[in-house]
Amino acid sequence: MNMQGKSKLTRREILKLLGITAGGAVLSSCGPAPTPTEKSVEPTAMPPTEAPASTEAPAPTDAPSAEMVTLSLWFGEYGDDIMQEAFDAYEDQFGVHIDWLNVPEFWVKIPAAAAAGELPDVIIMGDTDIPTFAVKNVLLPLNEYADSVDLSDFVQSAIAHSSWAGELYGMPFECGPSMWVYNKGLVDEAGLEDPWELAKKGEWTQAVFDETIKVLSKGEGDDAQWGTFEPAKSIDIQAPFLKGFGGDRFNEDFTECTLNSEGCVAGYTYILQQKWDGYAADPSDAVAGHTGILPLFNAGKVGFVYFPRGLWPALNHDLDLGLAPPYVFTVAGEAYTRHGVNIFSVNQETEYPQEGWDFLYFFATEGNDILVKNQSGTPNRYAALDSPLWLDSLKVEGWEDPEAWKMGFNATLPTIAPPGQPEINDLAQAAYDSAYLKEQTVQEAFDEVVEQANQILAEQIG
Amino acid sequence: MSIIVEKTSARTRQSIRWRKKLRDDLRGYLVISPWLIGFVLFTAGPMIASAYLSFTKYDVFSPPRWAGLANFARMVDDRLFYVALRNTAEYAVMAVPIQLISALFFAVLLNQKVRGIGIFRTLFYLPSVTPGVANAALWMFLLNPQFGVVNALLKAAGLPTSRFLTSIDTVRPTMAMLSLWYIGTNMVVFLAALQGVPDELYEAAEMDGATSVRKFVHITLPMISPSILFNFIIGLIGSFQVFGFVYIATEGGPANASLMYVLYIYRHAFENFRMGYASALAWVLFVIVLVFTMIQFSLSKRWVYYEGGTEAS
Repeated sequence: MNMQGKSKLTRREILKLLGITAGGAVLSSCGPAPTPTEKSVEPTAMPPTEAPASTEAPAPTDAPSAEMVTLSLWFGEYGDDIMQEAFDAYEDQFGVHIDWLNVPEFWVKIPAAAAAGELPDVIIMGDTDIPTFAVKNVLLPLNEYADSVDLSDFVQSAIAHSSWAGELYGMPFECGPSMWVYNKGLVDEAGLEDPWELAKKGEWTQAVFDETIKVLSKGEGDDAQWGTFEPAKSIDIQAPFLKGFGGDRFNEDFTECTLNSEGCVAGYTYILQQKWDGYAADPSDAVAGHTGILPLFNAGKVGFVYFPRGLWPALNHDLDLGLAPPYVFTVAGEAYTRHGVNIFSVNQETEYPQEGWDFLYFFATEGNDILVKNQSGTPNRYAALDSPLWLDSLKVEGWEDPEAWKMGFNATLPTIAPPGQPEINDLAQAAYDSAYLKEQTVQEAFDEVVEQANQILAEQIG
Repeated sequence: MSIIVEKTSARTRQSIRWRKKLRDDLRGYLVISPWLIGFVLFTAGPMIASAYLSFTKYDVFSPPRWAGLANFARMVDDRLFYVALRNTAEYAVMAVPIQLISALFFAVLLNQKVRGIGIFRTLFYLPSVTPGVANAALWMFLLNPQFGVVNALLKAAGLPTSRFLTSIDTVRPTMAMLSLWYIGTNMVVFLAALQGVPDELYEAAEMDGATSVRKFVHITLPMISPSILFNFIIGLIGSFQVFGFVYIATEGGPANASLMYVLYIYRHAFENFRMGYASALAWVLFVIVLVFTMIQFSLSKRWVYYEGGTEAS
C-alpha cells in the first residue's frame, strides 16, 4: 500500500502486464496478410469495345463481362507520366484498369514474387529475360493469341527476342538498334570524312572505322582523347562484333557455347586490340558500369560510342553529334548490330489471359506510338519508321537521320540469351578481363569458359 | 500417521515449489517471447532452411531437388569462388587493422577533458549513421579519376592522383580506407572502455616515473583488451560480409578485383537463380568466419586481461 492507502503494482505484476501486451502485439501482427487489391471488381463498367488483336470473342472468365477487370503490371526505366498516358489510352479503349508499379531491377524481384505467388498479371521483360523465365514456366505462352494477328510488320529480331523454342512469350513494345553516336566536332577537327556521309555512299566499313579511331586517339593524361569505347562487357552486346568475324556465342539450338571458336576469338581480339593500342577508353576509367562511359564522351574526349537510343537523354547535346549505322565488317561482308528490346509478358498464373494479351498487343502498337511521340522509344514496326510521329520526333534534335536508323534496323540480328546466360556472362567477363590483362591468351581464357558454360546450358535447358 | 502427514506435506511443498518455478519460467518466456518468435522466424528458421537448401538444386520457381554434396563439389572447380574468397580475405586483412587503430586513436582523442567534447564525439560518430547506399554513391563521384574532387585536390597540392575504385591495383585498398567511414561504433566501444580504466593505475604509474607511451602500452591497452577483442571480431565478421558498397559502387569490377564473397552469393541467388548453390556458399562463409572467431577466442587467453579474473567464454 502507498501513502494514500491505495494498492500499488508490484514489479512482478508490471512484468506480467508487459509480457501480455507484447505477446498480444506479436500475435496480432501475425494475422492474415491483407487481401491483394490488384484485381478489384467493380459493379459497373464497359466491356471491351475493340479487340484489334483477336477475331474471337474473349474467352469466358469467372468475372461477369459487365464488370471492370484490373490488370496489375510492373515496369521499369520509363517515365511514369509517359507510361500513364499509354495506360490511360488503354483503359479508355478497353475499359480494363491498369494497376501499375515502377519496379527498378525487376529481374531480381521476380523470383521472390513468383515464390510468394505475388507476380503481377503483366511483367516487363528485357531482351535477355524471356528464355530464362519461359523455361521456368513463369510466362504465358502466347501463340494461340498471336495466331489471329499479323506480326510480320514487327521488327523480326524483336519478335525473336520475345520468343523461345518457337513459342511467343511477350510482345516487344519498344526496340532500337545500337548505333554509333559520334562527336562530329572531333571528326571534323581531324579532317576526316563524316561517317554518315560515308555510310550513305556504302563506304562505311570496318577498315574506315579502324583508321578513324586511330586518328582520333591522341594525347595523355588530362589531354588524352580516345577514338572509341569498348562495347559494354556483356556477351549479347559483344555478339555483333563476334558475328562480324564469323563467330557466334552459341550454336543454333543453344546446346553448346562457342565463345572459343575461331570467329569469336578473332572478334574478341579485335575489341581488345583497340584497348591495347589505346584507341578505346576503358569504361573503368570513369564510373563503373555500362553508363560509366558517358562522362568521358560528354566531356568531348571520345569520338564514338555504341549505344541504344534509350541512353540518348544522358548525352551532352551541346556537342555536335552525329549518328552512323553499324559499319560493314570485313570478314562477314555485312553490317551487324543488336537490338535493345523492351517486352511485356503475361504471368502464367494470371486470371485474365485474354485481357493480358489485349494489353500486350495494344502496347506494342498504340503504346509504342505514344512512346515514340514522347521521344521515349524507337519504333518496333517497319512501317512506323516512316510515320510522321517518328520523323517528327527525330526533328526535335535534328542530328538523327531517319535513313541512318533504317540502316540500323536492317542490320540488327537477334542476340537471344538462353537460360543461364547471366551465369555464362559472368564467366565470359572474367575470361575477357583475364585476356585483357594478358594473364591468358584470348583462346586460353575462352577455352576455360566453354566447358563450364556447356554444363550450365545442359542444366538450364536440359 | 504423522509420518504420512509429513511425507504428504513434503510432496505438497515440492509440488508447490515446482508449480511456482514453472509459473516464473513461463512468465519469463512470455516476456521474451517477442524476441524469441522473431529469432525463430527470421534467424533460426531461415538458417535451418538454407542449410537444407545447400544440399539441393533450387531455382525458386520450382521445388528444391535433393542434390547431396553437388553444390559443395561445384565450388572446388568454380574459379570465381576462389577469386571472391581471396578478394574478401585481402580486404579484411587491410580493413580490420586500419579500423581498430583508427577507432582507438579517435577514442583516445575524444577521451580528453576539453570544452565541447560532446559535440566532437557527435561529429565523429555521425558518419556511421549515413545510409550505405548514399555513402557508396557519394564516394563513386568523389573518387572519379577524371572528375572527382579528391583527385582535383591531390592535383592542386602537387600530389600524384589515383584511379581509386577503377583500377584492379587500388580498388581493394581504397575500399579498406573507405571502411573508416563506419568506425563510429568501434570508437564508442573503445571510448567506454577507456573511461572504465581506473585513474589510480595511471597515478601509480606516474609516481613510478612512467612516460605516456609506457602508460598507454602497459596500462591502457591491457585494460581495454576485452574491447579490442570485441571490435576485432565484429570487424572481421563485418569485413567478410561486405556487400552494399561493392554492389553500388563497383559491381565487383574492374576485372572482378572487387568481387566480394557476399556479392558472389547474391549473384547466384538472385541473378543466376541458383539458390541452392548460394546457400552452400553462405554456409561455407559461416564456417570460415566461425573458425576464425574460435581461433581468436582461443588466442585471446594469451593477451586479453579481464579485470574480474574470468576468461571470455
